Amino acid sequence: MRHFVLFLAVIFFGLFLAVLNRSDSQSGSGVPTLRVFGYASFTGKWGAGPLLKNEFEKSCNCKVEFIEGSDSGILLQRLKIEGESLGADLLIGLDQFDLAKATSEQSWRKLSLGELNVYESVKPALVNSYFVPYDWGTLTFVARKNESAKLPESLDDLLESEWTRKIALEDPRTSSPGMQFLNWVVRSKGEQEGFEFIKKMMSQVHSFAPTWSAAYGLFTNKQAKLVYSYSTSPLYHKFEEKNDDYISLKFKEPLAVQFEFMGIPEFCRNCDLAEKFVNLMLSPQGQKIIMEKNYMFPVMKGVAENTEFAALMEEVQPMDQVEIPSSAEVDRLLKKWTELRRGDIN
Amino acid sequence: MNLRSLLRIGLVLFFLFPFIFLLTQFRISESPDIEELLWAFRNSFSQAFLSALGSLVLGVWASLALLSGSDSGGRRRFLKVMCLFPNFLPPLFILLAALNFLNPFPMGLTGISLVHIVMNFGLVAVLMTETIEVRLGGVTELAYVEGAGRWQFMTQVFLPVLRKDFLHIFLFVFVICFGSFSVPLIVGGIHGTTVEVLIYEKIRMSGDWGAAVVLALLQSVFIFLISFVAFRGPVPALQKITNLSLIKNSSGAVLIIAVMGAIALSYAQGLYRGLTQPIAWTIFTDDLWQATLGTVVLGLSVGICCYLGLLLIAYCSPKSWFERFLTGYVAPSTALACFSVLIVGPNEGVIPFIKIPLAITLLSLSSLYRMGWSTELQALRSQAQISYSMGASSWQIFTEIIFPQVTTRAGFLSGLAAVWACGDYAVSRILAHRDLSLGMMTETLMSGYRLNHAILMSSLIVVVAGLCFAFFVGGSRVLRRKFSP
Amino acid sequence: MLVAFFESVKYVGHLLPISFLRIFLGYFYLQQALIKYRGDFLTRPRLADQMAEWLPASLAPNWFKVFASSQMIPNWQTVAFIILGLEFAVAISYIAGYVVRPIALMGIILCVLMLFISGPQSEDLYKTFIAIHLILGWVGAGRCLGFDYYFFKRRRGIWW
Repeated sequence: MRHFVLFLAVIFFGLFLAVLNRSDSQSGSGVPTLRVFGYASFTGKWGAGPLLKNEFEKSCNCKVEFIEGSDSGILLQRLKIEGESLGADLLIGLDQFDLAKATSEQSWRKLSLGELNVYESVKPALVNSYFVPYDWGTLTFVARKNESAKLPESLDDLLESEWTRKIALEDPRTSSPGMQFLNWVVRSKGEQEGFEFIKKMMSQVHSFAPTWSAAYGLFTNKQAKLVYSYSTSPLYHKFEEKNDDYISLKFKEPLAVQFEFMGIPEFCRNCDLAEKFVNLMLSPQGQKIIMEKNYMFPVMKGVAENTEFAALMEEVQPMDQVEIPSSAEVDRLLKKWTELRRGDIN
Repeated sequence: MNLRSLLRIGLVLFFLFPFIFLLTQFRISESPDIEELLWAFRNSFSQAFLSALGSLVLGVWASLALLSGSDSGGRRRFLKVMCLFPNFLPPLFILLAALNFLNPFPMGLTGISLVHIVMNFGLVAVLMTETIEVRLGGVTELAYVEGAGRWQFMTQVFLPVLRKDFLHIFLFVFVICFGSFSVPLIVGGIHGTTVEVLIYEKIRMSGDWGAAVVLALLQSVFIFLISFVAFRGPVPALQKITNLSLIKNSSGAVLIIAVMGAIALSYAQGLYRGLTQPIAWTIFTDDLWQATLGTVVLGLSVGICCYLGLLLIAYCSPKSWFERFLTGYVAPSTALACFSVLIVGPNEGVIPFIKIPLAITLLSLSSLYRMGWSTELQALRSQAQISYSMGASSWQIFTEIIFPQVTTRAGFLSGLAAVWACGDYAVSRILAHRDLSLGMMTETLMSGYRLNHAILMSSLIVVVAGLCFAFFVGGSRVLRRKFSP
Repeated sequence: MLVAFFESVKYVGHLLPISFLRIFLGYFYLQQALIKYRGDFLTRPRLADQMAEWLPASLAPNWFKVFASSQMIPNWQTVAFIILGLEFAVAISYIAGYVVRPIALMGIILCVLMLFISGPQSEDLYKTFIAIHLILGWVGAGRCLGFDYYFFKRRRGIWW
């Protein structure tokens, strides 16, 4: 009996591995496979990726395969290591702080997308001909309604005693929203004053989480009263959890803007398909999927209208100029940040 | 050169592979900022030292409570499961539980140490219980019969005899906490920067992999030096478990129940919130069963790899340099080790199912060695020497003397590795192209607002990890019975 | 073990003709399983379509029809995986002559299942297969030119 059970287990286990193997490498069997490198929350089951994939596969006579990474830094390194051998056709999920690094480490194809009917706030992000943004969002502090009598309205308000050890921030050395915060303060207040402000902020901060998800987890678990997140975060709770308790704060200072870019590596194998996928992501249908699943603003006009995203987009006041900082500039800011946090734990 | 020497060299090369490989792959463009490095080292050292000390003290206290129940008794089993509970959960959940129960939470060194102690003292307690039983069983009974007092016994027998075990377990927790990443950042307060954070910064923001490798190498050398200084002296031989009434003390049970109960309660609250979400069912997609199977496959294969690895180490021992190396070896940062595995060979199809277990084995085998495997082997040395002098071959010594006595411990340790593998997402995320396991799915959920769903998903990890753990613990007992002469 | 494999021809030689039948059937199953594996049996809901088409006219008892329409058709992928796994198991077991008796039982169950969910054109084939599986299991066809002989020689019992 034992032999029989073991025999069956081995056969089924082998078949399971074979099926897994086949579903991964089925590209060789006729239809071409478009390989898209993206971050997990985009390509995962609950992200925009699977819906875009289904939509694309309906008309392309191809298969779309997502290759995941935890964040853009890891994705870029992965692209460098195995992109060419694996045949990476498209990279999704770089923000403006990654672009300089991405350009210096890889060769990219020029995108010819013609005139795009994008929002005014998005136009500064179109300066790079290798990468195109597919969504954007402003970052601000998110709070719970009715938890505090007076919510902060400017950066200086964050220094009030009510917020002491009540703010969840991300560390800019390990997280993109953290880098956005650093950049926001520096741009709003000037470099010297900005770093002095951050120094004062240190006593206000509950923790510097390594990732956005950890900081947000601290906030939703009521460890912190404020978290640095996306203006659109409350919409997630409203739509998915039917919870209207969260609010994104308006600040006197124009808010930091994050663009998410996509680009086609020079060594792509199915370059035409990649361009078509880019077009799908910029089409009204694709933009709607991204907006509703990624909880970010669409870049193209005519998608968010008559939704709560449009109302929010009207309300937020993003920075006018979005510059794409060089790697050296990012390093320099981080070095100053590290110096600020220098010292023994006590 | 005989087979054992070859195997020893092979194992050492396996461990050193990431360093050698990464140093040849990445150019080291500039030397590290010494000042920055020094205070990062100081921070890493102080938090790791306090965490290890605290875990050891509380772990030993809790182990006295574990000893007060009979080996097969329900109470002891319950306390043991409670002790191991934090190992089954992702660190963020334990962190949240700690923050929930201590408000305001003491940020800084105290906070980091507290969280690390909560995470580790249960495991230390379980390890110490087994160690105390096999080392002190006979002596305790003798002391009891002769009328020694508890204090007298503790100071004159307990501490001196177990000194080396304490050191090993201290070093085991120290190394884990030294390389800890999220905890120092979240609860470290203003100055929560450690070497691991610097390594990640080099990878994530600067893209300077060469500098990251150098930092990891320095970290490993540092740990190696500490271990080199720390370990001297013989380990007493194993004894039969007899009467431990002299050292039993149930007060530690209160500690275990209070701390683990708090974690369990906080976790249960998260589960409840997850279940009551209007979209709770969305986690039950058609991918879920594949991810569950993937988790089982990963858990079992990591467990098997670690079981074989531990036995291989047992076969290759004793050899002074080899043991020194294993005691002091620290794998490089997870991201670095995984990238070295990623670069070698293809990564498609079933390859991740081979590479992930290998990478997790590489990262955890040295920890398992420090968790009591080394002292277990040293304690059997005299038996091995006697058999050798009586003409037994090394294979005979291994199969007939060593294996039947150590297989239970190997099963327990590889079961733990399987548990870690079930909850892993850091390694898998780098080596796999898509969500293969429940751990990866949990991380995906967390990175998209769905923390409560992630907690719900992690309950499946707890079940699968529990099954894997039971498989290895049970399997090793069966093997022991089969191979006992 | 290998010695026992060939030794069996000498000691259980009277079973040799039936072991050829066993190996042939194993080869047939292997071929069928490979065609299914390489095709779209696991990826497209052909099996579900087939069941939905033939179930109303099938000879199957009512409880099976209810079970098939409520559980098997929605979970066609799992059913397809199990069927394919069993076909591979039968194929390898028959070719190697290993655990033939219990696998023959599995083969019978598989044939009955296929009989219920397939159209009338393959009805005769599956009935014949049931008879062959029954005979192979009955005589213990793995004992000749098969690994079952090794275990039969050492352990006896009904499983070999």
